[in-house]
Amino acid sequence: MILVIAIWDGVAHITNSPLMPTARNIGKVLPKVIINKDTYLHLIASIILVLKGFGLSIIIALPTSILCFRLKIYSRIVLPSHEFIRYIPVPAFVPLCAVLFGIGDLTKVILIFIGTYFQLVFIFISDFLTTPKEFEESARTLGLKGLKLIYKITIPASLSNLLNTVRITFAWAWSYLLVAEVVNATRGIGYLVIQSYRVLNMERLVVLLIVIGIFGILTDNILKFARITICPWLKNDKKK
Amino acid sequence: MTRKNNFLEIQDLSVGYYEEDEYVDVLSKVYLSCNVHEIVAIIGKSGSGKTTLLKAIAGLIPIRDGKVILDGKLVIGSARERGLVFQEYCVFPWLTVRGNIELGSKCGADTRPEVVKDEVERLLKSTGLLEHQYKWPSQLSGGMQQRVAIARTLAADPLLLLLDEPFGALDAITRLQMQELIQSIFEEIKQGILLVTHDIREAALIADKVALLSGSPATTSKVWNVPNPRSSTNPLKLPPEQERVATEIFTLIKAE
Repeated sequence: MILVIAIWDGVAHITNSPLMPTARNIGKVLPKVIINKDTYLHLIASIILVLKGFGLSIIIALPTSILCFRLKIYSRIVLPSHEFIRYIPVPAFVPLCAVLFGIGDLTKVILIFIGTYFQLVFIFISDFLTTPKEFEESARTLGLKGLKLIYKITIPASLSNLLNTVRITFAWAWSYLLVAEVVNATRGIGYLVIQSYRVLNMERLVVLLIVIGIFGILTDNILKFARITICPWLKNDKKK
Repeated sequence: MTRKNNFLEIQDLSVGYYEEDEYVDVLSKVYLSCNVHEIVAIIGKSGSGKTTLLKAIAGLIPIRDGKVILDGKLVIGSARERGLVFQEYCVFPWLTVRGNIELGSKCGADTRPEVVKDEVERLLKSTGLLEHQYKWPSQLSGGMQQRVAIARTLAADPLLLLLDEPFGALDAITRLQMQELIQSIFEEIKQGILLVTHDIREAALIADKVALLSGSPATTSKVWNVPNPRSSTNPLKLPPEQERVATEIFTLIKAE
């Protein structure tokens, strides 16, 4: 980290451009942005949008991936369309979503959903596939079948991997939010970044990126902690 | 009423799988029987279809030809009457020792809470797991994990216990302890046991019958009735009749 700052500062001094603020100037703006109540109001507005879009993705991706994992015919019907959409970059959906859903929060939620749902389905399926099949086979010889097998074995056996996937893809949701907030936003951390860019307040822009990074690390650690709390058996598992 | 003789009958069994649209036979015309309260060991070289045979009996893979009859009924699909214990991934890591056994018991014939509780307590005691009941499987040794898997499978009250090289990954001392455990548990249960093993002496030590799978596709090339089964617990010093069976098996496998 120190090395990154040193390289940045060196380049800023060499170029001596107002578009490349020095570490000292960034350092001066940092406390002002961090103690400003507005920063947090915008951050909370962004978090709410991410939770709505990403939450919706998880709620729909989990049953879809379970059905694809269990029923070959269902996966043959559903997955080709998902594969197709997965390869379309999220920013390409911005105009279409703006026309269909307006330029309010709904479009932002939908964009986060599109950006994460189609990826989540495939990673969740892969999580189910990497779970040793012996667990399900043993359970079937105990007489477990159908929904009981899914509820008692398939999901718990893959739970730690599923939660890890959620943790990793949460960062994607956050990225797509910033893409979404380009669309006529009036609040949110992405909106603050765009505002700083428009007035070329580069110190503030860099500080906002630092705030986003700190928030990301914080969220990542919260999700890591949540995973260990939800899956207490991982505490003693050396392979976790 | 449970049939005492030919409690399990495997008749003319053929099993295989598709590999790139081509059907590959693994087992062909396998015959085997197991009486009630009997241990039958299945022995054979690696890749001889021992695990495939157990999975077919458990109903986990489709049968191409022939039939498996358990207690007079044709076996179709998986059911708790045929409990299977694998060599690896045998315990559910997200459940404690008690949770694993409880899950098995809740799948059993009588799922009243007081019956489940009594059954779990009984199995925890008989498998020596009582003091470990609240531990996670990752806190246990390989031998202890196998005990949990066997207890969980027994808790579901199967008619037949299928053990797929349950001691294969264990060290020599733990293996001896587990062989003794199987012998002691066997005295308490009414089930029949089908045990897949690589170890000829282990088969001669604890089984009533030893079946050799050989050939490609594999078939039951010979079945030995072991005289005075389980008269010793020491596989290094087998009684003369069992030593003779072990030598015969070894000679036949070597000649293949």
